[in-house]
Amino acid sequence: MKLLIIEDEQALRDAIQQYMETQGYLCEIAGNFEEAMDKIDYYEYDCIVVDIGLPMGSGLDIVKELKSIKSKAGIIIISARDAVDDKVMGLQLGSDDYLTKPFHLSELNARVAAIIRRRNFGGEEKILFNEIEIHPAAKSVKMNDKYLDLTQKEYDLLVYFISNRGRLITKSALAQHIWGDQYDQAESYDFLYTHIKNLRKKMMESGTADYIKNIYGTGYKFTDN
Amino acid sequence: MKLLTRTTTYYLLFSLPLLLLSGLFLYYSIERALQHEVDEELENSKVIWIQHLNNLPADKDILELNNPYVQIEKTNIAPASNYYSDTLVYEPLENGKDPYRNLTVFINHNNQHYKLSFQRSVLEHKAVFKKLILLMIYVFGGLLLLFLMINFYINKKLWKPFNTSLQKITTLNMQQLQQVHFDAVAISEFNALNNSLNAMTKKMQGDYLSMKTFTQNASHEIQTPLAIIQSKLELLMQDNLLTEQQIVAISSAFEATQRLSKLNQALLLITKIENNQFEASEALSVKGVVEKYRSFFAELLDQKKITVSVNVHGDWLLSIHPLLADMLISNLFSNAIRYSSQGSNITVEINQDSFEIINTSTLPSIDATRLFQRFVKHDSTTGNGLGLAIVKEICDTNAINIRYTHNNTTHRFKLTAS
Repeated sequence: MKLLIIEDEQALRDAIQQYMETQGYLCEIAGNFEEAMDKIDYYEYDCIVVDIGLPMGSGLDIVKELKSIKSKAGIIIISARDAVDDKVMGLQLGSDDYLTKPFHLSELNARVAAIIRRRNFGGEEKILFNEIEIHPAAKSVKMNDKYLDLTQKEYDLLVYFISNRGRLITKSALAQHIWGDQYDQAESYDFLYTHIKNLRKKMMESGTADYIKNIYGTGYKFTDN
Repeated sequence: MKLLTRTTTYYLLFSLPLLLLSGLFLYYSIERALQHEVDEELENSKVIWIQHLNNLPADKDILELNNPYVQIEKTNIAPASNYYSDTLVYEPLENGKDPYRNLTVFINHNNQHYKLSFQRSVLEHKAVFKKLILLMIYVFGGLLLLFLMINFYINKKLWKPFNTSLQKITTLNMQQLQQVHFDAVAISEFNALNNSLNAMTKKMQGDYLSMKTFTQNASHEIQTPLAIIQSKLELLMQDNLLTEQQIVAISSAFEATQRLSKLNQALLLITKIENNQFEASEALSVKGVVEKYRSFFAELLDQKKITVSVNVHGDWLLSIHPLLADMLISNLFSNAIRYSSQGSNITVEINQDSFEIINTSTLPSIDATRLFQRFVKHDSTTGNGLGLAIVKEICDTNAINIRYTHNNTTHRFKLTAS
């Protein structure tokens, strides 16, 4: 899977690249508008992460260009501007998703994975992890060939965990993913703990190994080693 | 009251008594003039008759000269001064009494006193008078109506530029400020007004745009470094060689950047609300927003064993930006949850023009003057102390009144349309 990361802040660009590469993506980078336009004209990508505020141009123009050349790439806009207009405009132009800075790398990764699944396989592709099999289109989960009955939030958590397998995912990233931007209205991550406890219990009962590891109370890691 | 209605009322208020007075004046003048006319005729007859009587032979019995125009009768009264009087005379032809003017003259003929009564019908004069009065009423009424119409038309025409400008100001929208222009008009006062309005809107537009750019830039300049810190920390956390102590340290730094970012967003949000950057949309159902957040907060409510009763007596339709409606209700809701006692009840009352949220808590009443101030926290919870400040700001910019009351253990926030 090939990604293009268009971001002018080098430090952030490097961080995204580093995280995505450990998830198995092939990452190309562009630090300004011209470079980005050149790359999208010459190469094909599975997903393009584009910042709106670029030197010498706007990320929205890159989205327009991608649409005009009928690119098959999925598009995620990342922007430091939380303006509602920008968000609406970006989605209207045909981007698949919009993330406001600062964001969790694990969230970006999960969204990229979801877009690629939707684009390439029409959601038909299975998500596999050892004995776990997820059918995103049907939102069904099989463990050891047995269907597992999960709540919506437990399902979302599981998909998020598997997308970020082997990574330490912070509690705030999980909470934000499950409850959206307004999760901070809550006082603590206590109910996150409840959902994870339930998910873990259901998985163990179906005979799966305990993949969800609590890391010193700071977050969780989904790993088989 | 509309200006046009007011000028018309004033016009009527002044012109009606004037017309009435001049009408009365004309009425009496005409009446006097007509009477004077009759009196003059009678006087003329008198002069002719007396001349005629004086020329008669002395032995002539003047009582024979009696006729419908002059009645002569003997009298014992010594000649007194002549006088006019009004009388009714029986008219056999019409079988009715007609009004007559009468001049009584006393003369001495052959040492005998006579009383001469000259009479003239005033029936025709009365008819003419009646006609004149009627004509007068028609003319006056017509004039009044005509003047009213002219006044109405002139006022409408004169105030038109004013009304056009007024219409523009009242529908002024911050987002479309650059399209607003008050055109030059012929009337110098209105022209001056429009020029001032143009200058003011230009200034407002400048302020608005610079504020908008500022919030966007500030957002960008603060969020970008935060994004870098956060992503670097997230990467750093992935290092498998880290000790527990190090991971916990990175994690708390990570949480702090989150708080900083949320705080920045909240402050910028307040600035944007103050700057009217959120355009009101079509009417939004408060009931709908409440339902949305009731299920959104379901887990939070379960955790504290709080029950929620929503009493809908009618839906309040608010003309507000959807994002602000969400902020308003969710902030009040989470505030109520945060300060509710374990296992208590939150009551929401929705009326056609009000919204109330009542929670019970053993916490003391909140100081009303500090309630909506920024960064005022009422306990050491994780909130940033901006929730109620945002609520107040939304209310202030969207014509909503907010009132907080406290009674024993109940805390009540009430929103009403202002």
